[in-house]
Amino acid sequence: MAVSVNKRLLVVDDHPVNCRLPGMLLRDFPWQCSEAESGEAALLALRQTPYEPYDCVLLDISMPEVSGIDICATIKAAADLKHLRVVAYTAHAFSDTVKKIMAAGFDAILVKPITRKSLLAALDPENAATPP
Amino acid sequence: MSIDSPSDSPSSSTTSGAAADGYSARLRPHFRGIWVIAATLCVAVWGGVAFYLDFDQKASLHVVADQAEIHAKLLEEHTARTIRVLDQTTLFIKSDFEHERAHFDLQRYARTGIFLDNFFNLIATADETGQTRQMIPPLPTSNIKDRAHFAIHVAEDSGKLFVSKPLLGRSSGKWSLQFTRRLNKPDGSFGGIIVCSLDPGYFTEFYKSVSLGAGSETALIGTDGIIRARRSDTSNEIGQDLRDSILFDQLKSSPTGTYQETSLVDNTRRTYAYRRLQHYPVIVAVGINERVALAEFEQHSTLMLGLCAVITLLILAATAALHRSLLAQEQINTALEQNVRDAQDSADLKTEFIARISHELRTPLTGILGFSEYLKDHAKDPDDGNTANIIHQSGKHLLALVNTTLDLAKIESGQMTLDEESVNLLELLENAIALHSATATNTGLDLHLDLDPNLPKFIFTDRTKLMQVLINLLSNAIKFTTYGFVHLRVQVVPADHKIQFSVSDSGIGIPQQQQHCVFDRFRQLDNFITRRQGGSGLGLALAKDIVDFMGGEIWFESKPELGSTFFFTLPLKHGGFSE
Repeated sequence: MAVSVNKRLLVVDDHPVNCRLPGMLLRDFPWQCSEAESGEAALLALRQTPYEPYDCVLLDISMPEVSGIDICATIKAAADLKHLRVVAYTAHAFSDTVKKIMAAGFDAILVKPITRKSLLAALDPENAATPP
Repeated sequence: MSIDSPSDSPSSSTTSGAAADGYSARLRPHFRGIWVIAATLCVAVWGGVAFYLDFDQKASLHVVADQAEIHAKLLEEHTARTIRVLDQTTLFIKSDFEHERAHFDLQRYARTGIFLDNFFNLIATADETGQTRQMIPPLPTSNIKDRAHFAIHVAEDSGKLFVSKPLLGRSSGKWSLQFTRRLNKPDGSFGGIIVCSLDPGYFTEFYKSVSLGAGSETALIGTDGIIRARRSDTSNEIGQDLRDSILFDQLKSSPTGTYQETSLVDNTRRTYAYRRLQHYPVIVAVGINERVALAEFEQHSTLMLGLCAVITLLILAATAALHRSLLAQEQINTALEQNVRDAQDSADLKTEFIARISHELRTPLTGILGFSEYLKDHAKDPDDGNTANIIHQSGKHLLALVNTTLDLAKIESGQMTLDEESVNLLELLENAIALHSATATNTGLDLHLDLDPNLPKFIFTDRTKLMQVLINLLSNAIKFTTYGFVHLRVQVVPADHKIQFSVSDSGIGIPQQQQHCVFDRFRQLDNFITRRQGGSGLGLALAKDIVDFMGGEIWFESKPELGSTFFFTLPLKHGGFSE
């Protein structure tokens, strides 16, 4: 596998274990992962590094204070962030809920529990890398 | 927090209350409407009857008036004739007196019987001083100078017969009517009067013979307003003054006519017909008691009004019944709507509950499955890797169980929906086989697909659910087959517009005594504690629920130790047959 410049991923989830999981599964892949445990923290993280922008955000939906849906709307409405790939990272698995989430402007949805395969497909669908 | 909760459920109880109010408000005009209709009907019935009775009464009164008029004519005729006869007597005597003055002898006439016996009370002449001279029958003389019928002839030679008020005769001592004429001396000066006195009873007797029913009245009235003769049921009294009655008003405009009046004499309301005699100063009047004449009408009227009251009561009763049944209907409808809302609320709650459970179970499973997946690939010690793999497999098992359980719950609470689309059938079948090929190969089973050449390329169905059933049946077959084959056969049943899937295996089969409960939940061969194979026993139950839900049928054939075949059909939609 060709060594490429690491892509940056921000995982946003109030559940610390599930927040750390994508980073673990991506250890052998060219992704550099950061974590945020709330929507506010996520927005701060996204804006604090304008010189090194993120490529993708994994957003949990059901979080206290601000839901993933609201954060997604904020991101998609911000001029400096709207090109960011936003993936819903959710344990909501029923089809009508999935439809609602997709209608909220997410680029993709990653249903929990995840596998490395489903994670990679959600992050980069064109280049859905097979595990090494 | 959770975005998938059907957010409208908590508020539905308040909206339902408002809806119930709105519902009853919607029905109110109907209640008003039926009462308005009922009232209109009642008014119409009463109005119609009132109109009819009024018409009937007028017609009846008209008949009464006609009857009275006919009688009045008859009486006029009789009275005129009677007076003419009387007058002939006065004229005869007058002529005799004036021409044969010297030999005038009234008694001679009596002797010759020229006058009708018993007709007159008295025939008398009086001289110019009012002293009676000759009388038939011969009675003691008296002076009648003060009598009106004397004075009137002294005053004027009208050449007319005068009819006196009823008087108590001074000579006869009887009530009588005096028919008088003036007697002239040869020079034309006043020479006395001739008086023919008639018993009013003469008229009364006749009136009695032509009686017009109870309460009727017949009278002979002078143009001066005083009753000369009268007959009624109660009295034959005479002499009353009628100048204030309607009769005298009417007389001013017409000598004959009819009118209604409550009698000034006996306070009885009657319809009168009257006729003024042409040549004599008297009027005949016939009054028919309206109450008696209208007795039939009254009876009729009472019947009609009674009927009317009954109809009104019936209308009101029917309306009240209608009102009550509408009210009951309304209550039933409200209750039904409430039930529907309650059921909906409860279904919404179930859906939310299932969605929540799903979410809450998946959250920890994410960590278990994710980290065990990482660990089984990254463990430095192979034993640790194996352990991690066991955790991973157990986690997957648990996830499958969660999914199946929640699917069953969804079906049971009626929350399952059919998501149909055009599906590439061959691709789907091959995917189903591919998912199991690794396991089958490991066991050494012959797993293959057997397709009907007539299968359509695309069918219209719910891809996920069809896949779920196929995976269920295939993994079941593989699970219970240790050697031999597992075949998936798909064919079209054109007659029934169905597509039939069957999964055959050469496995352990199902013992006869267990076959009745294959599709029950948590059933597996043997007791679940001692079972050899994995699986929850929910798979076939879910498969059956899904097939039922999709409008198909599922069944099986099995011989213990030889193998089983599970069949299921689905309605063939949108397909047509491939060329």
